[in-house]
Amino acid sequence: MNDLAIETNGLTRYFGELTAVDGLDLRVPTGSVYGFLGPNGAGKTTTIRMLLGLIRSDAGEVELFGHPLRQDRIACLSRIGALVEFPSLYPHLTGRENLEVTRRLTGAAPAQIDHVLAAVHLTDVADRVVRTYSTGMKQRLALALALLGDPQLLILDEPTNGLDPSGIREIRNLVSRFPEAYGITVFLSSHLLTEVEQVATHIGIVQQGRLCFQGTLDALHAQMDNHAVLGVDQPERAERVLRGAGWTARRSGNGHLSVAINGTSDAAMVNAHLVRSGINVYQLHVERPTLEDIFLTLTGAIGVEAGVQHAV
Amino acid sequence: MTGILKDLVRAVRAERLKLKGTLALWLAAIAPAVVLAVEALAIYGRREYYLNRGLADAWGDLAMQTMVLWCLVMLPLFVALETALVAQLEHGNQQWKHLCALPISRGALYTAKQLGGMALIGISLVMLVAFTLICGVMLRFLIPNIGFEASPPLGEIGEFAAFVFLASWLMISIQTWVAQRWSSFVVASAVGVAMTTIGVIVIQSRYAGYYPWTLPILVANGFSEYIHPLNVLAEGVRPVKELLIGSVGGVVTAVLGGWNLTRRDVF
Repeated sequence: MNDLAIETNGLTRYFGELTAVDGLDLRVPTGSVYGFLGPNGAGKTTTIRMLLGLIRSDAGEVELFGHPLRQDRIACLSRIGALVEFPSLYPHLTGRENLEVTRRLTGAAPAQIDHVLAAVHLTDVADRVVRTYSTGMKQRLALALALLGDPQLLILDEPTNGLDPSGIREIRNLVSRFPEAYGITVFLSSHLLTEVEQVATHIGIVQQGRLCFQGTLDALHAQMDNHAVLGVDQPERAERVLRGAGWTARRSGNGHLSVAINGTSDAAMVNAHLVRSGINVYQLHVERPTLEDIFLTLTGAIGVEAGVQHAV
Repeated sequence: MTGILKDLVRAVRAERLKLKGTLALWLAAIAPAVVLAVEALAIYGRREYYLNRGLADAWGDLAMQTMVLWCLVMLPLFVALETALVAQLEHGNQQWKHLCALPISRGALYTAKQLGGMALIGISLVMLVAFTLICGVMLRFLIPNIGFEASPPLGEIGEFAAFVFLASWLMISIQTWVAQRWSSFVVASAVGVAMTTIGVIVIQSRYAGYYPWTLPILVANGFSEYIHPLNVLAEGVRPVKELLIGSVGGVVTAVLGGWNLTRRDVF
């Protein structure tokens, strides 16, 4: 079995003078849930369209399970299910008929329709016309379409677009169990960072068409220090004392202090230093930076000049 | 079965399901019915004329008048509308990005679209022939003794419709390409209306035999000159040039259109 479900080398696409995707080297391990993140206009959807052969690259290659997409398009696509941005459905047909259209095109077994309907919990409404479906049901039907043909790789572009919180949770639950239940690698593009954080094992962050991070979620968290958040009786003095001792400390809006630390032993040292300086500490806890913190730091501060940080 | 042929069979089967219950399918029956209703009303309104004329080739007259009316008034706009409706099945919900990400050749997908449009035009012509027969039988009872007592020349009327279909092929292929190439329904419709309007001028010129939107009416008209009696058709009097341009041009345009569409980026 190939170790990488997706591998791109120098993938590039221009739109006129705009470089939408700039020398992208993706490495998506087989069996992973790969969160593909980036701000709007970063090149996520363009990348996904090139991965599916919908648009051509101006430079670079795409390999899916070790096979070059350009030379072996049909064989590559036969191992992939995809949902690109919005569900592509025929509203005048029933859910089952929509699946039947795709089944006829792919030559999948008829029994698979019931199987994928059950997987996305749509069996009960399968014979209703799609125009009567809610947004969440349409999104789940689109997932069912992607699952037809037993794909080994699922490429999902913003699968929670337009969904309410319960719909988002439902899609998240479905996606998170795909790797284990069906042995599927998931490539998930989204701007909902907290959602990605809950399901992804690997992360790729793209900014202005270039990767600024690629690796495991743990490796991404290791990119940024944890913070000790302290409640003290003299915040201004505490900030001066800690800065004088070489710590990076800043006061937050609610009067708390935030201090960059490297592990829990640092937190204990900060506490001891403040107490020795006559400052009372009534609260202390260690905060791990969220994916949102890291994302904003990487996409906001690194800029296009920075190279990609690989941490696979 | 070879890969491409297998893909095409799959795509055509999918296309058939997609058309289920669509306006495009209903129109293939409604449009001919409207033309025949107009024709039947016109004949009934002039029943005195037909009674005074005595026994004539009533079936030939009905077939000829119906087909000329169809080709002149209905067909060019009908083709534009049908091909646009078929294309909108995919453009409407951005289906192309889903279809083109499936493991099937794009050529098969676009060929199925072309065949879908042609099938709808073909169905409309079959319906036109069927309604012509129904209309003639109704007139037999409504206005006896004007010639509808004779057996309908089904073979000749069918041949007439088949040749009109062949002559329409070039127009269908162009409209199919336009409708698939541009996602806007307005563009496809506007091209149909504009070309039909230009056709009104072109039909009076010597270029009419080369203009895709006037070929069907020329073929229908060409037959109408020799349609009394209908069996004269069997003696080889046919507008061959128009038929060749329409059918061969239709195939060539479909191939070129498919070639163009398969190479386009899908957004």
